[in-house]
Amino acid sequence: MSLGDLPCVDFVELATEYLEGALSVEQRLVMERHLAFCAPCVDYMEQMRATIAATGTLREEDVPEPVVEPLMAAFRALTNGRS
Amino acid sequence: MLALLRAGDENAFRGLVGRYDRAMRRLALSFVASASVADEVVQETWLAVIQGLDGFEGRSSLKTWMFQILVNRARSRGAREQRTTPMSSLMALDASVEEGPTVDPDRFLPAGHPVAGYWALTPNRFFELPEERLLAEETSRVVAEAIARLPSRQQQVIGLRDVDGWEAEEVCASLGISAANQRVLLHRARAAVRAELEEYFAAEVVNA
Repeated sequence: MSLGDLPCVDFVELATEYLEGALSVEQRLVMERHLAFCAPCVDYMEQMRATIAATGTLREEDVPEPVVEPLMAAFRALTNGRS
Repeated sequence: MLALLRAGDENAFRGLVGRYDRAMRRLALSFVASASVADEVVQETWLAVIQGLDGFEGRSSLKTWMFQILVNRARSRGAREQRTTPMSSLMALDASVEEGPTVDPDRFLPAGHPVAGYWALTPNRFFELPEERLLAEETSRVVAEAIARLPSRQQQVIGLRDVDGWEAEEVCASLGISAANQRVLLHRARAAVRAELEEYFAAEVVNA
């Protein structure tokens, strides 16, 4: 097996398909063989995972609190008398 | 949940608003030009949800149905706005970041090299930094700014998937996009944020 099956420049473009489980069994094996031989691409995948983790901690501080009361009034009016 | 809402349970509705209103406003803002228009779209959506509860057939989840209403309204509002505003330079930017490689081609060995296409400048190992550094508030700001610079369709997908933690199927159904398209948008968005983080942390990590 040579790494020539899949150069790193192509590997990186398949990273999300790989993480999403969207590749065929054959493509998946090619990716995994590449990872077994290519430390920089292992690091690239770790960067992707760290990126996803960092994105997952974003808070929505810039979005103001919802203005609930007018909505509650509308909800009450439209579902009036049911409960 | 649906039964409670239909029965007029106020706590159930309050919970629904508390849970989804912010995500709705962020998503709406990616379709329209201003926060006030986005707020209007979200208000209209909640009213449409209340009015539609009885007619909702449950073919999708309640969440997906609500966001489909939001996306339809936000999309048509955005389209109306674009017809009245001149083509912005932002649109040109959109096209260029929606195709082509997601990693700088100069990072790889050029054609003609015995191992062309392999890393010339390898990825740094910023992921080895302590968690408190990776998840610090300042890092969040770098991520938020990187996302803000993305084309709106990429913002929508990374926002729902990686910020809000939605499943791929929910994002596809809510935005009305194919699974393949969802993956392409997610990949481009993640790759752009990755590149920003790698650069941001470059001074703090030793390159392998």
